[in-house]
Amino acid sequence: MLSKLHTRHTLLERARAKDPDAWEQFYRYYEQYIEYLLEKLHVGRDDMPDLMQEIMLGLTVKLEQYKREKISFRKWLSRTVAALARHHLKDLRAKHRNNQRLQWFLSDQTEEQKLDDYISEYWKAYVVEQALKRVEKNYKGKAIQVFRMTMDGVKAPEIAQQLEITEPSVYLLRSRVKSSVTEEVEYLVTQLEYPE
Amino acid sequence: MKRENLAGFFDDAVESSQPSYPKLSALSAIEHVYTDHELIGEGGLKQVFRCYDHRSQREIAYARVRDGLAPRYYEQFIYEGQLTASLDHPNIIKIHEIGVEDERPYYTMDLKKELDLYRYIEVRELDLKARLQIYARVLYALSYAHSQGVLHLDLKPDNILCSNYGEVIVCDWGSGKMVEGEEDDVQRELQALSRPITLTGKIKGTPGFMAPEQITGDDKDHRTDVFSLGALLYFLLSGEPPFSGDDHEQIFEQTLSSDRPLAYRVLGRRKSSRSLSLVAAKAMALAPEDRYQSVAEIQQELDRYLAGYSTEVEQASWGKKVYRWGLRHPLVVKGAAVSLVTIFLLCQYFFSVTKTQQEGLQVQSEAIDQLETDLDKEEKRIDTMQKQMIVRSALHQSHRALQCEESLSNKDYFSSFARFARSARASQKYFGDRQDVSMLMKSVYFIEMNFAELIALQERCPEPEFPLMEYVNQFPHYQFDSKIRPTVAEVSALIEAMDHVHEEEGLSFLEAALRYVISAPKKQLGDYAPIMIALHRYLGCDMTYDYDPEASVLVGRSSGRFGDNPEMYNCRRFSYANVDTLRLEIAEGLFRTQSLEDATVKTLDLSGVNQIAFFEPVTVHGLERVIIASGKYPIEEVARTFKIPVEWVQFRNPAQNDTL
Repeated sequence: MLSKLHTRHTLLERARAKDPDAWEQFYRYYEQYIEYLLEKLHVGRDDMPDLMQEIMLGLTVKLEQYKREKISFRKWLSRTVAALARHHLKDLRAKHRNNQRLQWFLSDQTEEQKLDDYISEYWKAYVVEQALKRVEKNYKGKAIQVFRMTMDGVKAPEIAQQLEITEPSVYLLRSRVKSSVTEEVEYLVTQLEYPE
Repeated sequence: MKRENLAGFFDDAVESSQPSYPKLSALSAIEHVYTDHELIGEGGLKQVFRCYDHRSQREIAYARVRDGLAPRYYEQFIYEGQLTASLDHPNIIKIHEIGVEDERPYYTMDLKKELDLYRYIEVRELDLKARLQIYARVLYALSYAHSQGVLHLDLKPDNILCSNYGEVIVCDWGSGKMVEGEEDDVQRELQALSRPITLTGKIKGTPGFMAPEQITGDDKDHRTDVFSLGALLYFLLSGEPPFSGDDHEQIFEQTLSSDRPLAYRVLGRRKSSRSLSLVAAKAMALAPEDRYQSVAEIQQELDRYLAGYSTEVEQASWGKKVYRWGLRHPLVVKGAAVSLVTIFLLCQYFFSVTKTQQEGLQVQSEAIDQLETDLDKEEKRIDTMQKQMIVRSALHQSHRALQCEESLSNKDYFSSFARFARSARASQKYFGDRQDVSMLMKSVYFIEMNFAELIALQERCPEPEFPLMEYVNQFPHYQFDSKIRPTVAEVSALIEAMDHVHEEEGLSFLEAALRYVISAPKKQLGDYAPIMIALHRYLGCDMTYDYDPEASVLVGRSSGRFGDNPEMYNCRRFSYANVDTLRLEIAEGLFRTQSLEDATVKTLDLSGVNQIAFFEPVTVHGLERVIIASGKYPIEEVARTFKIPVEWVQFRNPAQNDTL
């Protein structure tokens, strides 16, 4: 038996090496991402579980086939997820006639690059939100709120006014949360992605 | 949160993390770990290089199988590396890594900048003590290795590295083996390879440290290393290997014939040691069973020598042992010498002065007679003074002891006195009838009312006289102790016999005795009112009492001005009262509530007291009711002073007095 020290240490690599604990954790992260993506595409609640399962099944098969040298992981991931999602969502096209985002997503005319970027942006946003979730418990008071509002594009003076704190406090809280979230994003990237 | 902002944050975070680990990326990028090899040593099996380790960024020693040796020797090489790596001791070389490079095994180890023992002794010109300190470290290393079941089998000065900072490292365990391990063909072949002969047939390194069994090929065990340690000690004592010659055959011959002088003969006794030369000789005995049987035994011999004792092997004579003792204790020897000289000089001086002195003696003796008479007088005077002081201090002591107890409750007083009595009795047992102790005992007897014993003791030790003896002598039959207590009548009789108030000392003894009476745990007496009445009369207190024992009612009236007596007598005045109802009628003077401290009363009637001073809270046992003249004192203050609820305080008009 290999000792713990010698097994691959990132979640992704351990999941690929069929470490059951790592696999479960890894699966949950990606599953949440797919869920996040489908929610943004306004796919109805009823269809979600089946879709998620189908897409995850496809993704895990594809992950095993991933070859590092050919293409960067993140690009590969968005392409794979886009393809899988489009494939499994096709049947819903008629049902969601009024869902413009979904229609755009499924349309044959849509440029592949734009789709890639779209999915990729969701992946990034998802990772940052996960990171934020992980650091949230370490902060009391208004720090997290300040960060969220910043991410919503609210300017510092306005945040100060709304939360009834001084502007320097806004900068201080924001930079603190920012550095924690940055650290967590870095960590999650090493765990969930292959290095570029 | 906006998606594009989050994605932007992600890009910043990931980007910022990219270039921040230059050391990690540099370490990961290293392809050739060891470079710049420079040959620094060569053995039968291996070559040792100095080289640069790019990972730890320092110079290290790099050993690999020599060029041209067949792969079957690789096993032995790896075995050597692993054997050395298994040893973890400050005096044994450390292996860093064992690996394979270009399909050839290698291992890396500390690169020692030290000199080998040969060069070190030469360069530093060490004295014997310094050389033996190095030897002690080598003994530690070998002792440890043997404890791990590892033999060195090639111990010689070349394999011992020394630094200026006290570091001593035993290296080159290449010929070593595990004690249990079977020697295979390759190993035997290697033994031949590593014999101290180079391929050109010349003598290499340091011959003359091998044990006979290594030459003959007999079984080797830890005693083989003991032999080499003996040879090493020989070298340290003499500066020469024990066996030397023009060629190896000659050296082997010498080794097998054990033909050599004792080590100290080379440098002489001053620079070497005969005692240790014998140790080296024993360690190098031809037959393993004649040698020291373990490294520890050599260590013991060395310790003995360094501590200034004779070694076991030496079998030193008594003379030598005494001489060594002298060396170990130079101060004692010097001191003894100085004393002898001083005594001699003093004797001389006294003989010369005695004559002159005898002449002056006559005059002096007369003067001394006079002085003695004076001294006698002075002594007697001091004696009297001393006695007086002793009495005063004993009195003071017992008085203090009893006064301290005043704050105690009755129950505690009884046990406190018992403690005091016990310690006084113990002192008497120990010191006999010493004045101070007998004074303590007299006070104990008095307080217990054991007058029979007190009289006997007073006769035995007339000095100093107990203050109340005149009354004690009237009651010689009083023989009470902590169990048998006097009756109220007997106590009252004693007080009644007293016809005047005594000085402070006598009075405090009486008070102590009375407190002791009422504090007895068995309340066989119950009612102490008669004692109190007698005491008050004795004290000249202007109180008259009506006492109804049946109804347990005590009424005290003050005819004159209350409280004119010295204050100390006023206090505790009613503490002996043990009645259901105590009624006081005091028209003039100030009544202090403290005088009720420790009394046992159910109903306290103070309505007849004109002027009451409430001070500190007092404890009146069993108190259920306090009656006060109406309108004079705040009810809260009364309740607080007697530590009772306000409901228990009643007011009464002085006119109603008759109703009681």
